[in-house]
Amino acid sequence: MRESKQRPESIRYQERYLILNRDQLVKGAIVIGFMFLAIWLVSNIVFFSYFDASNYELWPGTYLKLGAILMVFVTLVLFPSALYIYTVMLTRKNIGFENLVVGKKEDMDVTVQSIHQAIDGIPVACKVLTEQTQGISRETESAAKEIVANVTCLEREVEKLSDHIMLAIEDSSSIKQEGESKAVKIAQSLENMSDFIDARAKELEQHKERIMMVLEGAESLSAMTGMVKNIASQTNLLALNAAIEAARAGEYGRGFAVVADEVRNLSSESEKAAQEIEDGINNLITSIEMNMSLVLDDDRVETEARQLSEFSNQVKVVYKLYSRYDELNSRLLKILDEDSDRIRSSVMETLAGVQFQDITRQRLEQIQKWLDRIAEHLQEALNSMSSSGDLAQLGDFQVNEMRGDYHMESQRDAHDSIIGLVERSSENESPKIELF
Amino acid sequence: MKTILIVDDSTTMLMSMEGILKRAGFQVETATSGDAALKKLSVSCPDLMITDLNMPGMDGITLIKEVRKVSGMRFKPVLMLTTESQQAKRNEAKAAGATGWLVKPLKPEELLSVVQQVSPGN
Repeated sequence: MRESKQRPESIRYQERYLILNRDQLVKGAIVIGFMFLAIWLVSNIVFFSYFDASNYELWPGTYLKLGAILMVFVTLVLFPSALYIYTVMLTRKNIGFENLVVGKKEDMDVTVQSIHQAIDGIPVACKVLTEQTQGISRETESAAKEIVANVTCLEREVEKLSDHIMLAIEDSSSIKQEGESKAVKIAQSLENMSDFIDARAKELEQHKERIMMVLEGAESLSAMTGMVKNIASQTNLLALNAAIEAARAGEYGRGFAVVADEVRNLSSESEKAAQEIEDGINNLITSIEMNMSLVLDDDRVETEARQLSEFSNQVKVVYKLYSRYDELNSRLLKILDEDSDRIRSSVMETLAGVQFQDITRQRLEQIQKWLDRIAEHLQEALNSMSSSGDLAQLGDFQVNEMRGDYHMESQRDAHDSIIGLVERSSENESPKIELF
Repeated sequence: MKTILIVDDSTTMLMSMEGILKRAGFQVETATSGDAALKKLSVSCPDLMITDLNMPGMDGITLIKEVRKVSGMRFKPVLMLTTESQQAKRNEAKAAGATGWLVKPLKPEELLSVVQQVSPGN
């Protein structure tokens, strides 16, 4: 399942150079010292065994030459061989490269110092990074809380606005109900008004006809007064003739003369009465014509009917506008209702989005934890170097332990992509929601 | 109105869950630790409980074990809401008496759907 990408640089470095710590160097030095001592002793034994003191000859014979050759052989061949075997033995023990490089003491001290300088600040840097990640965690938490507060505040404002509009619509709804009953009454009144306009027109026509008949009757009465006047005039003439005849009859006609005189007075009064009747009728006709002229005026009737009709139409327009307003209110209510749902849904989405902070926080906490571990590990390494402790006993930094610490798939994926593990099959992943 | 108790050490998670569930018409109680949750349960039992897994002090699985000992909560649904996705932990939670396992982050519709599904009476 796992396969390493490439051998680390450290291992390759270890293969190229033999690197020893202080203890190993001391042990090595002791061994080499003993070897030198042994060689020196052997050389001396061989030399003094074959030294001819009587002749004071340094090279008395063949054996002495052989001893010298042996000394040279041991010095040049055995000692390097022993040193080689010793170093190979140490290499096989897989001595950690992170210790000291074999070399002159001064060089090693410089190396140790350089390594110290190079990594001395890293534990502190790790602590600084930990603090920084804690800062990020705090900032995201505060941002998330602010988002929630702002969204909640916004939602509250929208709710207030919505409440105001709803109240206004409710008010207009009650006005609408009232208006509806009034509108019915208005429609009824319009109907009545229309009937009234028609009836009034007819009535005026009938009035006109009746007045015309009255006027005609009055005029015919006027003609009849002429007949009365004519009869009175003839009666007067007859009375005059009767008075003449009575005077001719003398004493016998005196009584008749009185009658004739009375008749003439009667006819004169009749004529006078007829004249008065005629004058009265004429005055009546004039008065009717004067008083009814406004009523009987056709234009005025039409104007009145037109004005009433216009008023009726305007009321109808107002009623239609009112109906449209009512329709708009209903539409507004529907839109408000839908918008409220949409806003509620958006607010819930935003609130759900705030979960990112918790996820980020958890990931940052794990980074902090492992930064602390790295800092501790480096500090221990530095302490070992300073106090000639055994670095080999410190052990490797176990990167894979980090993997066991993760909660999220995304963390494991990120880890595996760096470490070089084969990607896991998504089929094995557990569902996001599982009910037991 | 059904009551839901949410237990999480993250105040932002509590705000998020409380906000969603309240808008969906639930009455919501919150606790920031297992101990605080148990204290609330000693006073009154909700209709449903949602708890985080990784919390300082008492973790979610231990909390579920303790919750199941409370007489009023023995058969109530208890959901685990966590970033943890490992099957071993799920099995542990199931054995402890969890009703379901939800992995963060959850969409509102996912949360409400599960809550409706496990709510008593459904």
